[in-house]
Amino acid sequence: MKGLWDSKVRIVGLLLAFLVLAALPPLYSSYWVTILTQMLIFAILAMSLDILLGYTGLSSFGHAAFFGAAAYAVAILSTRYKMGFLVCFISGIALSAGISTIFGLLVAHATGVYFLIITLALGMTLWGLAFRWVTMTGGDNGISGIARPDIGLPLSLKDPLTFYYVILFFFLVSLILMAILVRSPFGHSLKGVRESESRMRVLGYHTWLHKYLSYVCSAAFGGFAGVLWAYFNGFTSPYDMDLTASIEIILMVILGGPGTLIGPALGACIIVFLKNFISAYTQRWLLIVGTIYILTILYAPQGLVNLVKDFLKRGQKEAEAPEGS
Amino acid sequence: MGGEERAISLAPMEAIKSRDPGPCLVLEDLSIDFGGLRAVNSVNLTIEPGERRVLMGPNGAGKTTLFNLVSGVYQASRGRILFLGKDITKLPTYRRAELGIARTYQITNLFPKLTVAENILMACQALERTKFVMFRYLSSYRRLRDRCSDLLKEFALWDKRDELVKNLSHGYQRQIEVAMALAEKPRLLLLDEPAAGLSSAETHTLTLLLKKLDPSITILLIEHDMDVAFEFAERITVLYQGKLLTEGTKEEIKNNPTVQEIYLGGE
Repeated sequence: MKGLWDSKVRIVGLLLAFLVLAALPPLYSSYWVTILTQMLIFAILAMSLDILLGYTGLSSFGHAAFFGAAAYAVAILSTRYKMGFLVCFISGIALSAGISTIFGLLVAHATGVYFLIITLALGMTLWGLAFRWVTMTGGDNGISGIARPDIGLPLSLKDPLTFYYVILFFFLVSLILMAILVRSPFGHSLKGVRESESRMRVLGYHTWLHKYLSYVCSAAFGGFAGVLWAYFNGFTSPYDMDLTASIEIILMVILGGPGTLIGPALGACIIVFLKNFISAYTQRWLLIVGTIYILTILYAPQGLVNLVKDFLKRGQKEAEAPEGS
Repeated sequence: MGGEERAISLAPMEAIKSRDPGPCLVLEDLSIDFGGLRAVNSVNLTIEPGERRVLMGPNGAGKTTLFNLVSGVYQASRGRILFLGKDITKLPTYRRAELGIARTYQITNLFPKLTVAENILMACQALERTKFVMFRYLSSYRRLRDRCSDLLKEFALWDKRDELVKNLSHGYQRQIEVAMALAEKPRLLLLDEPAAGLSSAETHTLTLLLKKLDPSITILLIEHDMDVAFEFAERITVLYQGKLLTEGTKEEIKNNPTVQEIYLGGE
């Protein structure tokens, strides 16, 4: 019955976190509300990469490409073609998912370092496209002037707080979808691929297909985050999808705890906070990223969430020890 | 549903079988080269449905390589593999599993960071179409859960179901190997030294368990331990340096001078 207790604790914890996220922002200045909004968007992005990195065991170095592609889709459609929210929203996700169905053909047979390098190369291709295809993407200048959409609410989304609540809603939707995904039969099979691909094949799993689908799911949710980002930022540039961006997402996942969904979300919050906070003092953000990475690998290789989990388990075991062994 | 569907889709083959119960597995002139090394060299082997066959031979004889060829981990350099009359030589591993070939590994190959129950569930859903369902909880599939529970109880793993596999003893892990192979309701079961590294008590339990298995399952077993081998199988095949050395009943193998020489001379 331990599992039941665990899930109860988890549900109570999640509800509390949700209450905090829902109730506190009105008390904060719009600066903090904006930071919180960023955190939620990057939390979706980090969780989407975790489907691939934490659950399937494939580390992608090009995940920001899907984020950026969706953001560009929204930017181009809404500024140049004056498309409405729904069209932009669907096209953004569809573009990311569509690109991943093609890229997936190239990457799904690979594992480990090979997967990493191929995704890096493909990600850089998209970045190069955003950088060089000036007539479409504006090149280095990016595309600005993406207006907050009218989604039929009586309130204006220009207000940071209203926009925050919209993003919170989308965050919850994607959290629930991904939480079900990783607990579904398909999600279970991904963990098997992560643990032992050879065994999976012998059991009768077409592991290539599972990896491919995992890649596409991950990209689609990444695109979802990209759409929200475009509307939040009002601006996209190649820097949304460059190598640094990809590395930051990986760091969010690794710092928080791959193989959990809450971990990467937490990691995203920490990284976004540090990025905003530290950028006020220094230009050397990459140096900080590197330091965090090294510290994580040294002291919390399984991520913060798993570190806390292990700590609690050890406490529990020590408490049980006198009666048991 | 998958199980029933499989049974239905294989029904015509079943009908063919009842008219002419052909062999379960046929290897024809099977060879594989690794660079200059011919690890399996022109092996011909026929195994009847429901047969229990032991594959013996000293280290490096090519036994595990033969298993890898049959289960599809390696592709044969030459020769053919027929399973229930169907040529499976070129089929990928997962297709062979779908047809009913399951195997265990000599060196334990499980999902170490998943629990015992999760490991067994992975095998239970392997041949079901539901393995692609993305937006429904796995735990909501009662039939899968029931089958998993039955297997856990049958293999005395029920008490360990929530433990991570990596935290279990070698003996338990060997049991999970066999349980996972059986979870797929195979027609042909390839057991690669299931007793490797087990204590004599554990080996005894395992032998009893293997003897209890559904007699319709064809079993090919690699075993070093002569006692286990002789207790388990009627017929024994001996491989030596990639070639089929001899094949026969227990007595024939026991009294075969070449086998004696290999086994006694080698040690």
